[in-house]
Formats: sequence, C-alpha cells, structure tokens
Amino acid sequence: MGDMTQKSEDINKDLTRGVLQTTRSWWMCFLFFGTVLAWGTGCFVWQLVHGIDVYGMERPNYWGAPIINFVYWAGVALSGTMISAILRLLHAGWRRSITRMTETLTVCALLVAGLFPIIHLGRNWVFFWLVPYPNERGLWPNYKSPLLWDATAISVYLVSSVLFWYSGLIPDFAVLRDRTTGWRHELYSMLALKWKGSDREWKRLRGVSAILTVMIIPVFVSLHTIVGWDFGMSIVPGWHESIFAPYFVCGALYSGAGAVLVIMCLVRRAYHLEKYILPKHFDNVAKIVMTIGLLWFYFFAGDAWSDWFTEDPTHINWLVYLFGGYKWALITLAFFGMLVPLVTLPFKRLRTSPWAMLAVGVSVNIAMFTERIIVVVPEASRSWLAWGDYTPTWVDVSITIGAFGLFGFLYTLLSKFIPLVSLWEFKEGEVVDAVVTVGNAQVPVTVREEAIG
Amino acid sequence: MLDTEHFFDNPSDIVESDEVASSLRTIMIRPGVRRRGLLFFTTLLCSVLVIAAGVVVWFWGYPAQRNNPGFWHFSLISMLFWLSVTQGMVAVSAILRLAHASWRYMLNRVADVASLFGFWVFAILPFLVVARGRIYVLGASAHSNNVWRTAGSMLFDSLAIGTAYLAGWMLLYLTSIPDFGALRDKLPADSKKQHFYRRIALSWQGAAKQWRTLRLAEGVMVFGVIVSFVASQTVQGWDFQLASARDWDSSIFAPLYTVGSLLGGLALTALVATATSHAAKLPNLVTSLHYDNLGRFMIGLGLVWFYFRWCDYLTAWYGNIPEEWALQNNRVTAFPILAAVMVIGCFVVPVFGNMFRAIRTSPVGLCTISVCVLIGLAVQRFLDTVPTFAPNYPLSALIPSAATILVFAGLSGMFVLTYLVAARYFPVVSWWGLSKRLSRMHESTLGNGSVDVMLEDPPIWET
Repeated sequence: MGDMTQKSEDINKDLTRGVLQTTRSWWMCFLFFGTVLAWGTGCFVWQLVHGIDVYGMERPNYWGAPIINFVYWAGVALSGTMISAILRLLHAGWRRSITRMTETLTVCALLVAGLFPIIHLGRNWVFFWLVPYPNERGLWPNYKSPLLWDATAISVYLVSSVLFWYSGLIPDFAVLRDRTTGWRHELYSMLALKWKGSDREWKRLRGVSAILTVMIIPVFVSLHTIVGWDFGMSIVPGWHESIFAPYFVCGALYSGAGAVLVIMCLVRRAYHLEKYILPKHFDNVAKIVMTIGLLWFYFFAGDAWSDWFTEDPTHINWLVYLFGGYKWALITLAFFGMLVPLVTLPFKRLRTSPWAMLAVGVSVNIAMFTERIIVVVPEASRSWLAWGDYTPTWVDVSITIGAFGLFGFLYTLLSKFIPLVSLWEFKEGEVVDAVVTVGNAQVPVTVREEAIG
Repeated sequence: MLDTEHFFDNPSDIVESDEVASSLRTIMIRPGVRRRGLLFFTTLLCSVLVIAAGVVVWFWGYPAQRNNPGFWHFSLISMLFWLSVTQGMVAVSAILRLAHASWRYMLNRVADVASLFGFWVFAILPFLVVARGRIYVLGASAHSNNVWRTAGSMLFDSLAIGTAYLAGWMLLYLTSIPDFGALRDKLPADSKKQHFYRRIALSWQGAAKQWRTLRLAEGVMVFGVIVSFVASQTVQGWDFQLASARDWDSSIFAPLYTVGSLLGGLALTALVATATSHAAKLPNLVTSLHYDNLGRFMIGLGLVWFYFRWCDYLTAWYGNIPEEWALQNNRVTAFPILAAVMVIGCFVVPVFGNMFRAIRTSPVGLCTISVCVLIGLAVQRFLDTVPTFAPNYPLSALIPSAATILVFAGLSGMFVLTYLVAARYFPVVSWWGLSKRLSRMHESTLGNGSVDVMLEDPPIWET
C-alpha cells in the first residue's frame, strides 16, 4: 500500500509539473506564438478596414486561403477526440497517456477552425446573422445554406468536445485544487465542482463519460461530412461529388492523426514525459495513421480516376488544370502524403521512434494542407462561367501563419492550466495491470474494464 | 490435461487428446450424401435448379437479351450479387484474422470455402455478360454500346474478380494443408484417396517449423485477400462509376459496393455457419459469442452502408442537376417498395435489430437479420442498375421474368452446391481451428491453485 501511495504521488508530481512550474522555454513558446498570433490578428484587422479584396480571391475563386485553412483546421480537430473516444469504446488500455493531449488538440484546433467561416465573410461584423435570433425585420437564417450547416456543426462539435474534455478533467482539477494556493486554488475549486473522489462521484463520471463517448462519434463524423457537403452539394464541376463527405472525413482523420503524432512527440519532450508516453504509443498511433492514409488515398484516387476516365467535359477541366498549373501541389501531396508514410510506417523500428514519427506527422500535415489547396482552388478556377487563377497575397499567407500561431498560443496557454496527461486515467492503467499470487505462483493479470453500454 | 504448448506448435496434436477427440468424432471425415435425408434432397434440388438455369441461359439467353433488357440486367445482377457476397465472406474471414479476433477459428474455414464459388463464376459469367452467340467479343476491344467510353471495364472486371478468387483459393488451400495431412493419415494406406491427400498435403508432418511457415504464408495471403477483395469490389463499382450515364457517374459507387459486399459476406457467414453447425450436428460449433460479435460488426457496416447511400442520394437531390436527379429520383418513385426493402434490409434491420443483445445472440434472430440483409443487397443491385435504363425501355421489360428468377435460383443453388461438393473432399469446418478453439480456454494448475487460462496466438502481423 505504501508503494502504491508513493507511486501515485510520483505520478502527481511528474504530471502536474508543467502546470505548477513555469519554465523559460514555456515563456519563449508563449511569446513566440503570441507574436505570430498578433501578426495574424493585425492582418485580419487590415481585412476589416480594406475589405475582402485584400485576399487573392477573384472570381471564380471566391474561397481561397480562409476556406483552405478552415477545412484543414477542422480536419486537425477531428482526430483528437475521435482517437480518444474510439479508443475508450474499444477499451484500448494504452490510450490513457494520450487521451488528454489529443482532446486538448481538438479544442484548440476547433477554436481556430471556427474563426475561418467568419473571416471569409464579406461583412464579418454581422456573422451573428447566422444565429436564428428574433429580430424586428423578421430575418431568418437560410437553412439550405451550407454556411449555416457549418456554423451548426462546429458549434455542436465544440460544445461536445469541451464537455468530453472537461468531464475527464474534473478529478485532475481536484488534485490541482489540493496542491495550489491563492487565485489558482479558487479557480481549480470552481472547476473541480466539489469533487471528493467518492464512489458515487466516480460512478457518475463514468456514466457521463460513457454517454459522451458514444454520442461524440456521430458528432465528429457529421462535422466533416458537412464540411465535405460544402463542396459536394454545389454544382461546381469537381466539387459535385457524392464521395466528398466520406473522403473529407477520411482526410480529416489523416491530418488529425498526423497532428496527434506531432503533439505526442513535442509534449513528451517539453515536459519530460518519457516514462508516460512510450514507444508503443507511437507504434499504435502510427498504425492508425497508416490505415487511415491508405483509406484516404483510396477515396482520393477513386474520385480523381472516375473524373479522368469518363472524360466528361464538366469534370475533366479541373484535373487538366491540376496536372498543369498545380502539378507542384500534386507532387507535394504524393511525396509527403503517400511516399513518406509508406516508406516509414511499415517498419516497427521507425514507428517506435518519436522523432521519426514527428517527421511523419509533419509530413502528413504538409500533404493534407496541400490537399486542401487542391480541393479548393483548381475546381473553382475552372468553373462553369469563368476561368481564372488564384494567387495568394501577403494577407492570405499571414492569416495562414496566424492560424498556426493561434493554435500554438492556445495549446501553450492551456498546458499551463491542465495536465496534458490525465492523472486519474494513467493511475487507473497502472492498477488494472497487476501481479497476483495464485497458490505459490505469481500470475500477471489484467482487470478488464466494464464495457460501455 | 491438455498440453498447451501444442496450441502454438502443433494444434492438430490436441485433436488426439481425450478432451477434444470426443467432440471431433461427431464431425464426419467425408460427409457423404446418402440417397435419402435432407442433404440428399438439398443436393438434388440445387442440381436441378442449376441445370434449369443453365438450359435457360444457353438456349434462351441471347434472344431474350435482344428482346428483353430485363433479362440481361437481372441475370447479370444475380451473378454480381453472389459474386459480391462470396468474396465478402472471404474478406470477412481475412479481416477477422488481421484484427486478431480470438473467436474467429470456427468461422474462418466456413467463410473461406465460399471462394470456391469462383469456379462457377468463371464458368457462367461470360455467358451472362455477352451470351454464347457473341462470346468472342470478350477478347475484342471494340465495344461501343454508348455506356462505356472505352472497352476497359470488361478487362478490369475479369482481372480483378479473378485475382480476388485466386487469393481466396490460395488462402483456403494453405490453411487446409494440416487437415489434408490428417486425412492422409486417417485413410487406408496406399489407397487412391490416400495418395491424393498425400500429394496435396505437401509432406505435412505438423512440425513446429511447418506451422510457423504456414502462419507466415497465412499472414501474407490475408493481406493479399483484403487488397484483391477491395480491388475487385472497387472495379465492380467502377463499372457504374466510370460510365458517363448520369447517376451512375457517382464517385461513391466503389466504396459503397465494397462495404455492401462486406455486409453481405457477414450475413452469409452467419447463415452458413449456422447451417453447418446443424448439418454437422454440433450445436456448440457457433456460440452466442460468435453471433454477438457478428451482430456488432453488422451494426458498424450497416451504418457505413447507409452513410454512403445517403451521401449519394443527397448530393443528387441538393445539386438538382436535372438528368442526374431524374434518374436518382426514379429509384424511389418508380420502385418505391424496392427502395424501402433496400433501406430496411441493408440499414434498418441490421443496425436496429442488432442493437438488441437478445436478438443478435440468438441463431434465429441473427439469421433472420442476415436474410433481410441479403434481400436488401440483392434489391440494391437491381435498383442501381435498372432505373438507369428505365427511360429507354418500358417498365414491363425491366421487371424480372420467370426465366430471370430461375437464373437467380440457379445461382443460389450453385452456392449451396459449392459447400456440399466441398464437404465431400475436405472438412468445411477446420479441424485444427476447432482444436484451437476447444483448447483456447481451459483450467490450468499454477502453484497450488488452478486458474482459467486463455491462450492467444501472436498477431498475424508479427509473423
């Protein structure tokens, strides 16, 4: 019993170090991302002052960088909670070290993604017209508009993800409440909701967690389905594809799983969590990345192949443009999205190497950002009525960099307030694997979790 | 006490142990078909159906195709349906191996045998595609009926379907070698049959090295089966997707067909496993655990099937491109009952029916659901094909005739005959798989106590 208590105390100490101590490197990250964010915010203000023309969007390219960023960040947001929820549903014992950091990834990325539908509006300051509120002119949002679907889906996913994330944080907030003083103690007392760790509280937490785990799965599928329908429901050649919804879900999972690899590696290094995030975690997430990557390629290639093979004039133009002016994007996609993962992920030695997996995660995300460019630009450039080219301006580039700054800023900030590895889940994992004495023999046993549902 | 080491080294040795042998004695080494009884009448009925269907296709096929497009469509759809679900069964078996499902042993061989249906496919498909009068066009490139823009689809079909069946045959053969070895050892020495099994058992002795090699080969073929299955179903989806006919030109057809095939494979696996357990008089062959897991798997696939189907429908509805929507809408308005049967069979019944544990764990419950799934998938093939042609032909020409229904019955007979004929030559329930299942969980002594031990093979990817 004494050993268990000491072990629990060591886990508390290791995993709350990032919250209770502020290092110079944390400040450097905070200032760096804050500066990038400030630049991006300044560019958005520039857009407010000078109008939407500051982007390189000209007809028929009317979406450009804001929607490329929206689709990309919505995709990154998808995998965090997905990995956590599905691993909980499947009782994957190894999930415990990574669920919190992936859920945090979702919350931060979704906050970034949610801004871009607003940024891309011509009159950003009336974005609240999307909300169905009573007004004296009797205006009502157009529910046939995919823009409204986006707003609804993002809101629902954000609320669900925050609830999912917060419910799992309550016991850890209680630990922090008992280890802090002053305003932090007050804050954590409020967030911990008087948690005492009684059997009744644990039972309720498990019940809530089970319900949210099951409910959040259709929510995240619906989010990216709707993002896919933003394109698929239009009649723009190349966008009007029935496969777009599952293809977007798959692409989102791919970029998100790649982002999970990146976050795992960086958090592990930054907070010295080598004891908690093990090579097997990288190995398992890498297998997920490989499987999803193959599925994504299947959808991507199937879509492009059917358009090319039929030689339908209404479908072929965007492909001709892609193989012409956007050849660089296609090569980037093939290299970073297929070649790099396929030559690294089959090898266990590489899958268990954090730095190799960091490289793969970055590679997948470069590819998927490029894929968003391919989805948004060439089709709109060769539309029904007009043909045109899209050249990003310094504002397009700046808001894209600003989005990465905002994500980094939010993640760095949150890491100061929450443990990025769940204390109670990790401790639970330590308890379910044990050695018991049977007769004169020592037998390793694993306690099975109660199945959800 | 079982020697648990043999679970990993040589599962066939466990067959000889007292605990297992008593169960195995009830399985006939070569289930013969006597001239009476249910098996005999089933064989007779299936044979008659197959011959009748063959006569129809041979003598009546070509003129019927010329005068009644419904014949061509419905007969070909019937073949594609059976082709799809049999390949789905083999794929389900491979996926269970890849997913390291510890309950898979009993189902693997039962599902793998479905690959033998491929022999029927190769025998009859050419006649259903082009009819005997013009069979030569299969080798030609000029093929312009204004549906396919190039002559590629036929070639892609043949290659993809052939490769998938070939992979299935190889997996079936490799995993049957230990049982061939057992048959060789049980048959009278120097008999013709023993000579035959000696040849196909490839000097199998059950050495640990042979088992390791077999496991490696099984692992390789599992990947081969899955890849070739996806390719085969994708190419069949592309038969529609790559056509320039609006509504067929839907990029979701390939994954929709792949998922539908897996769903059908799952349903048929449940039915065949249940029938086999009854025929072999082994009620415990398929347990509630198998039904439970198959039912859960069906829920997932039913949801994905509906998601794909709904994306297909909604994209056409919202886009409202006249020629696309007219055809998509025709599926529902001209064939409302069939559209309802499709959705109920492929989505409502497998998803909501299987949500009740009492239903999915009972043989009657899951088999009823499986029959509904197969009906739904067969109707889906019809609805994906016929409404596209409806504007060009009177509806009466597209409604299945007695002849086309007979062809479907004949193809169903072929599927049943596949198992009945296969059972004459080797166990359709894997002996070594059965021995593994029976020895997987048992009581073992540790120290002075006894504990329940569950043995697991290492994952297939670690071979």
